[in-house]
Amino acid sequence: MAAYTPVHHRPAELALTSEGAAADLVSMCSLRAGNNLFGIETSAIREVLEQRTIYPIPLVPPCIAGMFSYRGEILTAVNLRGLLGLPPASCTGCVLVLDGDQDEERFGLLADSVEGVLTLERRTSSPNPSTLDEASRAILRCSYRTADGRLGQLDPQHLTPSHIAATGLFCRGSAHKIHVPRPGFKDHGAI
Amino acid sequence: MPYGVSLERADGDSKLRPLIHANATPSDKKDVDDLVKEFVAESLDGLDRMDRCLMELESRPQDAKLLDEIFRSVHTIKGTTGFLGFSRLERLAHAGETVLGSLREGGLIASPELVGLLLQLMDGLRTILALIETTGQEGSRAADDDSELIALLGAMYAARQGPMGVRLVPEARPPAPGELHVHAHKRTSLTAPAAGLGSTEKTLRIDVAVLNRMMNLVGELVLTRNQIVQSHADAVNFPKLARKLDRVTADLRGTVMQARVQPVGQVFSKFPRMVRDLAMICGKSIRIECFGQDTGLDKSLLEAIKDPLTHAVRNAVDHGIEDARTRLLAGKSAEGKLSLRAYHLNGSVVVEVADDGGGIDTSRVLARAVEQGRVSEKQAVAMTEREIHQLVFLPGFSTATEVTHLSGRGVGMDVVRANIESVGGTVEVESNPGRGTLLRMKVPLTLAIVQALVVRCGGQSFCLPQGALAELVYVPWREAGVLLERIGRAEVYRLRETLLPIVRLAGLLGMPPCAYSGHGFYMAVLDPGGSPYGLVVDDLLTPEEIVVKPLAPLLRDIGLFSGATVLGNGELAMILDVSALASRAGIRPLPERDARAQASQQAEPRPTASFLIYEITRPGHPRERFALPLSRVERIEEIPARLIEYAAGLPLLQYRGEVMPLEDAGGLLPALLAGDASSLATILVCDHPRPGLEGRPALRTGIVVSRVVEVAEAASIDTVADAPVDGLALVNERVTVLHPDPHRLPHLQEVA
Repeated sequence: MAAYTPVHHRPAELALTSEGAAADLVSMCSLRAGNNLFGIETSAIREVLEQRTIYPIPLVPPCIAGMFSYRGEILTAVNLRGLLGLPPASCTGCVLVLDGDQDEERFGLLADSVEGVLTLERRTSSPNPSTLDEASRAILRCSYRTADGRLGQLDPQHLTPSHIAATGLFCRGSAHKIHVPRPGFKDHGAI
Repeated sequence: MPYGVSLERADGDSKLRPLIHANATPSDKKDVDDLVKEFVAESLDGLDRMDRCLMELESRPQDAKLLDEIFRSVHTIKGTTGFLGFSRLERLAHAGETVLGSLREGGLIASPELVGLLLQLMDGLRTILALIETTGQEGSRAADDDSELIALLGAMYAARQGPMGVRLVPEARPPAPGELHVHAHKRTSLTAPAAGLGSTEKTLRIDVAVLNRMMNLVGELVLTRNQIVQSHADAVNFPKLARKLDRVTADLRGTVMQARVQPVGQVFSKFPRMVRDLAMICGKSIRIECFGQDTGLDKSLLEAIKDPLTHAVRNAVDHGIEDARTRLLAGKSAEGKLSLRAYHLNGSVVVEVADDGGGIDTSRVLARAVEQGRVSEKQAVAMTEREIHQLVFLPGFSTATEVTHLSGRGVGMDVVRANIESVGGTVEVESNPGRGTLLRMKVPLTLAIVQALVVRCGGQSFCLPQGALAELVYVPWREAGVLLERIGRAEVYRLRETLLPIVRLAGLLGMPPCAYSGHGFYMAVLDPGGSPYGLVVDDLLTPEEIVVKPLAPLLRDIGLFSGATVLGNGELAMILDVSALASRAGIRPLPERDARAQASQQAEPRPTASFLIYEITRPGHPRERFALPLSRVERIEEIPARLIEYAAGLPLLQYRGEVMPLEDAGGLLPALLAGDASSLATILVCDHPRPGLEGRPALRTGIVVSRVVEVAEAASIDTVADAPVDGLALVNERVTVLHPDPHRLPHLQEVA
């Protein structure tokens, strides 16, 4: 059964305490984008930031919200709304700092709001339906039934900026005209 | 972690290791992996050291200390492999040890063949170590067979002098030297990159003292942070705390930079071996000299210059230095000389590769350039030697008539230039026919912090690196109509008689064009690699020292940004890649630009140029005016008179690393030197092209003057006919002596 615990700013710490729990429980941080409820395993989350200024970057697809500074590093923020093809949010939203798998690629995920930490039973999960569109299938691992409705579990490894760029699923249908660089564009004029 | 002990060992002597290994029971696989990793890194280090020792051994075959060191290293590897269970490595090391043992006892002499064979042994060991590093196994396939090398070593051992001084007859004849070395090269080319990868590029040796200092500074930083947290902006001690924070961060930055700085010698050290191998293959005899190995350079830059430097050295050996016969015929020693030099100059590091070979054959380069259609015949006639030398940097340009396996494919100097320029450096070549070639690479001290100009566009801030920034232009609206012209869809701006293509940053970045308010707009004139253009931005903010942060691959792929940074006000900004912007906007280096540049150079000495008017006033003498072509004046300096030194009765000034003669035609110096210590001398620094030596840097001369008056256009100068003295003119209605040549001063002396 799903039980709410209050929002914690370092869910990773919480995850450590719940590590010893039974293997069939999973600790999930729930977040919202539009009307959709999503979850990310707390162990993958480094920090949840609220009200962080995100600086836009020109020429990027709408699935990239921009960049923000995090402990001396400049990280790229992936826009969850952009991934889902939703229009930009009216409010500023929340940024989750996540760790990618390769080369410790750290990045941010911009969501409308972060709700809290849920402890879910693994057996309540169900696989993605076959009718799910390709873009959503690329970022969702499975889904859970919760008190608030269906929660789609996001796969942090599939949300990294480099992975998103590699799939090529999210760079289409951009809001404004984008000069998509030619593959292997290395011609720097005189250099 | 029982292996912590090994950290305390400063040298490469690994006597401790088997002991630790014997005591600990490495049931845990990770522990074994750690051991192996450390062993590989250490052994590779040892092998590099041995390479150097072997090179020295060749010149000093009797040096017992060197022999001992080499023997010890191989012995250490052999001993440790036994414990770790790498039998293939052990067999090879054992064969080497036998030969080395005999060498140490005097049974064998360190002949070039033997050194070649030992170098081959080092490569063999390196190959196995590289395999262990990547796969964890030492390799057991058919290709991983060392029996050939072991046999060679065995044969060498068998050929040792017997104890009675009788040369034992070897059963198997050691192969001829040539055979050996070609073999050695094959090995090198296969193994060197593999061995170089893992351990050296990702790890760094830091002086413990530097690390301690860093730790202290971090401690102080935390302390200051705590104080600031407890304080508030209006507190009395707040300014003091802010200053302290400023100092601590500056110190910390300096220390971290210092930790990143590594001696250039790290890169230089691999060249003696490389040059030796290459020279053998080319059948040349080459001596290599290194200077300034201690010169420090940022780790990332060190990596960046490694490839260009390797290429330059390879070029020098293959093309630069002639074979012994040609050299002797040219009256040079049979042995070629290659020197590597590194030194600091004006906040950057200069690395030079010089050879005493045949130099660049300008006529051949020119003929080839014309043949390839890169230069028209008309242009070719007018080109100076220096310009011809720069042609070798054109992509795909090669004069080599045949492609050898070393070079000649036309992929080379352009890549060298691209690599050096990508880290913000420059590269130039100087050549003296028959005397040699000098390749000079200039790189900044550090990459991480650059000077940049912050500009605004579309409500966002962007950084333009200062290096490519030529000037800033403000175009008022009332002049824009005249100066801004349109050709088709292209906009151009007339900047001092040249048409500058205009690029609008907002348009390039896909932002809505901004509504220009105010009286005009700003334009940054950028000149990346000979294709100047004007970048129109919304606003110019301050110049700032920025810390460059790397970009995520997705953002790098956009291709217009070279990094990101946090500005002083906490805002984030992208750093624009100036040359990428140019190429995205379709700006290409103008082919006729070279010709135009020449035309302007030729025009320089003509009297249509501007003149600098200066005065010489001396007590007891009337005031006189002189005019000097402005193009001759490099700088106007005010220096304390006490810095002027005399040698052989001539006044001299140490200026930017050279000793510059001073021309005191007016006799001003004695009075200045007699005055108080703080008196300033005004000096015009003139450069003077040396006739016939266009490729060489110009000589500088300083002219001591009383006062610089103005700059006069040539139009305002009327020459006086039938003047009592040569070179008199009227400048703005005043009699002025035209300075014909700053180096012909006796003439001026008469006038004065």
